[in-house]
Amino acid sequence: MNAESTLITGLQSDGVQRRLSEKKLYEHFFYLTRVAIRKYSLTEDECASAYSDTIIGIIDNIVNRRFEGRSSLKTYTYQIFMNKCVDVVRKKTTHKNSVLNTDAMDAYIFSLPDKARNIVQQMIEKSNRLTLTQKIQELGEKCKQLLLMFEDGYSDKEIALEMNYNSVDVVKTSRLRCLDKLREKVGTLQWNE
Amino acid sequence: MNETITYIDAYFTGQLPASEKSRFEQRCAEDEDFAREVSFYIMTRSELKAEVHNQKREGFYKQYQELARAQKPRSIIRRLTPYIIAAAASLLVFILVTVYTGPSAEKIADNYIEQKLTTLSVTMGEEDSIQTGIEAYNKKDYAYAEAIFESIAERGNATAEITEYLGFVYLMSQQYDKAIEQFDKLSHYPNLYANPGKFYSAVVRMKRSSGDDVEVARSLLQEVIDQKLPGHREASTWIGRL
Repeated sequence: MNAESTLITGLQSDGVQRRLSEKKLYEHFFYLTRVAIRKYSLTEDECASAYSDTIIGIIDNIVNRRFEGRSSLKTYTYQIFMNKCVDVVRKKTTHKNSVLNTDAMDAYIFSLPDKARNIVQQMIEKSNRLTLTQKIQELGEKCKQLLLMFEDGYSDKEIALEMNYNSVDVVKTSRLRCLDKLREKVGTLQWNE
Repeated sequence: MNETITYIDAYFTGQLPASEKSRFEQRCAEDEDFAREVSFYIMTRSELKAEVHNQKREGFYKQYQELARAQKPRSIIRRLTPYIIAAAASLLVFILVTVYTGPSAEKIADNYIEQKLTTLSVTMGEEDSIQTGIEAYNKKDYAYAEAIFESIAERGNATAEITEYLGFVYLMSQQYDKAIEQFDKLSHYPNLYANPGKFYSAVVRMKRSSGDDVEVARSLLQEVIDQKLPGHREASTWIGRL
């Protein structure tokens, strides 16, 4: 198995193997940052930000099986990273966190058909995002960790192992309870009107 | 439990049958309250995703700094080649002098590491993950061994044994500060019948041989001899040669 296949298999594994593969992936293509700094005259901080965002996006795509292997992982990484560098150069990136956040939101919204999407989109535009962010921080540590692991693509089985839940079913029920709890905390009026 | 959230979650995790999916989508378009709940669900998940990304970004930022630091000298090396050659010549003279005046602390440590620390014994009945870590170590896959032992330690199971293994892994992967930290921690474990922490800490310092390392190693070895701690025989042989 070559290095790229090993990385992909590792990223699609659970637990320690997955975390280790994330680090290895980051290190594997790190040399591209030297190319980008020279090619686009980026500062180390700009390059670190663009490269980290690139790797985070690639991890998401591999974990969620969206990377189909039509090109090599190297070509895929190179293209995404260079595009991000161009964005930096053009100063077109808005706040870097919100770029990824929008990407994540788009993935859910675009799974809805047009009519439903428009209505939900309007609701989102009216929503009180700040309140939501605050209330997420106020969730209990265990609830928060559970929701974050799920969002990071870990399977219910792996979450059960890492967080000492008795079964996969308990993980699922607990996760939905946590969402429910958050919904109560946010409240209808604070959410949108 | 709120059944609406369960229903929405089933849709977005792909667990609704096709007919139910259509009903879900129709309800989104016709029922404002329901659409509001869907918007809450989407926003929550995207906020959580952003939080996951932020945490990863922080970790990667640290990794970036380490990798960039490790790479920087290479470009400097190119520019400083003439000076490096001169320094190398001086170093060669120094090495020759050292070779003819006896083995350095680093050499002694190298021999010891080669003979005693490259293979850990696999003990029957240990936890699976510890065995896996030891196997990775013995195969020289120190990154994997590190991840496993760190993971065990993070779960609150940092026994003296795990602390020692982590120290070895850091030593072998040349993370000397971390190795010393582990062995110093080990040396403070109470109720350990034979505590090799100070001896291993001295080995790491001898291996690194930077700044006052050799001086500190000498004083640690003296303590090992005085207290008859594990490694005192080697310490007695080495101390006169440092």
